[in-house]
Amino acid sequence: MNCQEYRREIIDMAAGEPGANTEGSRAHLAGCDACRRELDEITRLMDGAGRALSALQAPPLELSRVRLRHAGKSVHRWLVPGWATAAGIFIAALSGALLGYMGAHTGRDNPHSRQQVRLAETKSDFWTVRTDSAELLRMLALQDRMRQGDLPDSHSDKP
Amino acid sequence: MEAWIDDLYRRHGSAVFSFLRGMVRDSHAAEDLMQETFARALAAADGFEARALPSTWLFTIARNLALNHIRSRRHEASRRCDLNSIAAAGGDPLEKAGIDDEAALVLAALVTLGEEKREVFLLKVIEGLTYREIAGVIGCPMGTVQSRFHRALGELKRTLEREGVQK
Ligand SMILES: [Zn+2]
Repeated sequence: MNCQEYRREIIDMAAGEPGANTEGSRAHLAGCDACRRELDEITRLMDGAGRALSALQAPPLELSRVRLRHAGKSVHRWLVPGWATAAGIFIAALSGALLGYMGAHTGRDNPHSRQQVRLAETKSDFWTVRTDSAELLRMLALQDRMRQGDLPDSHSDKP
Repeated sequence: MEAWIDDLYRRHGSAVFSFLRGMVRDSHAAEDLMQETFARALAAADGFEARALPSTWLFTIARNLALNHIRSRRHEASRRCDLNSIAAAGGDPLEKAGIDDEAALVLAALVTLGEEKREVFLLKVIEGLTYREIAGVIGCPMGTVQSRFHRALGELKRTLEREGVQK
């Protein structure tokens, strides 16, 4: 391998990639000043960015605002112009009367529809499979242990 | 009842904010997007996928919000900018954060990267996600993430060399 090829490996190593060829890179670095300089530059750059970004103070989480925003979104969904509301009531009344007359009941009652709308709305934003808050907390704990090296990282590229 | 959202914030709030700040530059927008990220997390906890780590799930939300914000502001933004003037701009929280000039310039240089490279670089540097995890967040192959990260580093290095930061 030449220096150019080693530099790709060196970047992955500097970035802490689990699949990086650390041993090979170290062996090459031991005998190559140019690649050592490259590694220094990369490390400085990543450290600089890390330092700058971690120095930024995150604002406190405004849970009330978060809830309000969320509620606002749901409420907004039901806010329609006055004429549309009137038309809706008229059509609903007409349908009800018609259904009553026919003696048939074709309406679908779905208590979860509102949540489904919300889920569908956010679905495009990220992958979704049903689980609950307890599962989320369990995953948080698991993630902590993984980061601390207590558990093998199933997401790593290690053989 | 919603203790988990506080928990999620304590663990990842700072990183999510740094990521958003690096993506959108505008600190007020970043703050707003951070609240929105957690609002969406709260709304969609039932949709959390056990296959994903909570942090990658959060970053996926934050990333999509950031990209939407950037797209909506595209006409206002100019990618090319004078790094020193950005780093030295008054009222920027960077000054208050007390970071050194070099770090501030590195951060300012980030804005010259396209979003695709910037998001990969930020997820790597802030959260230390692996290429595979980043691939999950942004929805593209791992090899693409790797090459975007390498190109991001190369471009940042060249930009900073032009500014006389790196030798
Ligand atoms: Zn070499």
